[in-house]
Amino acid sequence: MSDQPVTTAEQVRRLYEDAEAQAASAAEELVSSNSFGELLAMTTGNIVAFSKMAADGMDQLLANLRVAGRADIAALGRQVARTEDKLEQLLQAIRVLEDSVRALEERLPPPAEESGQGAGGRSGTQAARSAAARRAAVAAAGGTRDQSSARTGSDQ
Amino acid sequence: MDGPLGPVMSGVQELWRLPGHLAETTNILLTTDDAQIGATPKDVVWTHRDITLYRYRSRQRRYSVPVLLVFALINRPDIFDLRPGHSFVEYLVDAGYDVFLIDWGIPGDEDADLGLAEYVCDELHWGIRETLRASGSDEVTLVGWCIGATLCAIYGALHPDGPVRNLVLLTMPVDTSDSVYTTWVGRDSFDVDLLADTYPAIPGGMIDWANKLMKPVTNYVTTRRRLFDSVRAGTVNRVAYQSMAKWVGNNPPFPAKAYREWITWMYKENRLVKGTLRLRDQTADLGRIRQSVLVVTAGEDHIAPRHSTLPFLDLISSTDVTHFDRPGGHIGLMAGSKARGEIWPHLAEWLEERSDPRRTP
Repeated sequence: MSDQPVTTAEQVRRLYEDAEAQAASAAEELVSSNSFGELLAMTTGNIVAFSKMAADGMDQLLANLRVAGRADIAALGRQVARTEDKLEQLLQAIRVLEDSVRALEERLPPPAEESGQGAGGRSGTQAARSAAARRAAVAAAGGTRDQSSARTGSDQ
Repeated sequence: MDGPLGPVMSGVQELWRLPGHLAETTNILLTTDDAQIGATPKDVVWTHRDITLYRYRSRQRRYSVPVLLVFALINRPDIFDLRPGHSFVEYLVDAGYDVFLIDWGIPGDEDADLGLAEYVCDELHWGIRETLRASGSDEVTLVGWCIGATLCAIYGALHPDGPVRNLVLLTMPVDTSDSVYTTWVGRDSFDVDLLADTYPAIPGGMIDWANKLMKPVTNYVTTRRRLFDSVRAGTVNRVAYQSMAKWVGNNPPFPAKAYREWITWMYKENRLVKGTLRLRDQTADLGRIRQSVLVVTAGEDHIAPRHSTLPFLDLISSTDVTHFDRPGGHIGLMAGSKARGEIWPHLAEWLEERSDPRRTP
């Protein structure tokens, strides 16, 4: 393998790769320096300030033309988001209540006179009820998408 | 090719093939958006605002403790499910885990009020609640990556007695005192308030540009040159390149409040490691973390370098702590070509010992 002659193209490629590796190393050193950090911070500040001026000017123009601007649309979006937040908190409260009911159901002892009646008796009914509650809870978790869609729909 | 004209002929051949190689490279770059990522079948379990909790379909769940995947607020969580045949989600599902993923969505201007407290105390908390309800389990494993790992660690610190049984933290920034980011945004002259007041949602492109600027030549030149080299050598993996490139190029905005808090609390004040990070009047004291913890660091990680993660190991109270240090970059560690063979099996093995077998009814 080592006896094979190295082509000119191969030599050029290796030279380029060496140069690229050196450039990469130098660039990484450069960007991690304090002076670059300072320059970057200043430049970012200037660009953001300029962009803010431009956005304010555009908003003013749109407002004078009686056209809704980005901020107006965002305000509407915020209202929708707030409504969704409230509904989510409501869902949270319902979840807590569901958990409490389920815990209560599980803690209730089966009535003594009916405890020996097997699966068809009261205890069986209670177990079935508890399982149903669990299923309902899981189903509720799976059905949230629909509720969410409904929320969004009603908000709009 | 032998003989005195061999090198010359070889050069001529190279030159002859050059237009074809250039055309193929260009085609790969231009059709990147056609790549299919995040393809594993999943169902929506819960949504709130732009945030969605997904559950991946499976017919062979072997473990009762579900796994909830949490990615960073920058970039999309599709990296967990990059492409068919090379997907961490697919790997976990095949291994028998009940896998959930919280997708932070694409925040808009109306989400400017989402801060770290909202993400950790509300969205992640609710996501865990819905995961438990859907899976029917009392415990969950949180797998966080990058900022997602920090959010999971904070959650673990706020809820030491909560349902989180295992914390798997991948390339997580914790102590930012000595990082390039701190050199840039930790200084007083970097006015994070001006940025957050101007943009209700910090443009994702801006954050991506900053990330790439940390290794400018590597990110802007070497990646494409290597693609061309692999085309020239006939070894190019078109699907692998395009799926990763598509994921890298998809940068959702960062809500202003969360961005302001992240930069100020993590980089300017380094609060998490100092124990002064407070969310909703509760201190995120890492010393309260008692869950089983797996920390994974990457040797060539420049975004969350190993030395920025290691102090975490000294701060937590967990008795069951494992640390994997592997070669690779911040993303390449878990999504690179070697991840399937060298990282995922170790994670699955660690999880297996800490996820109870599912009881068959």
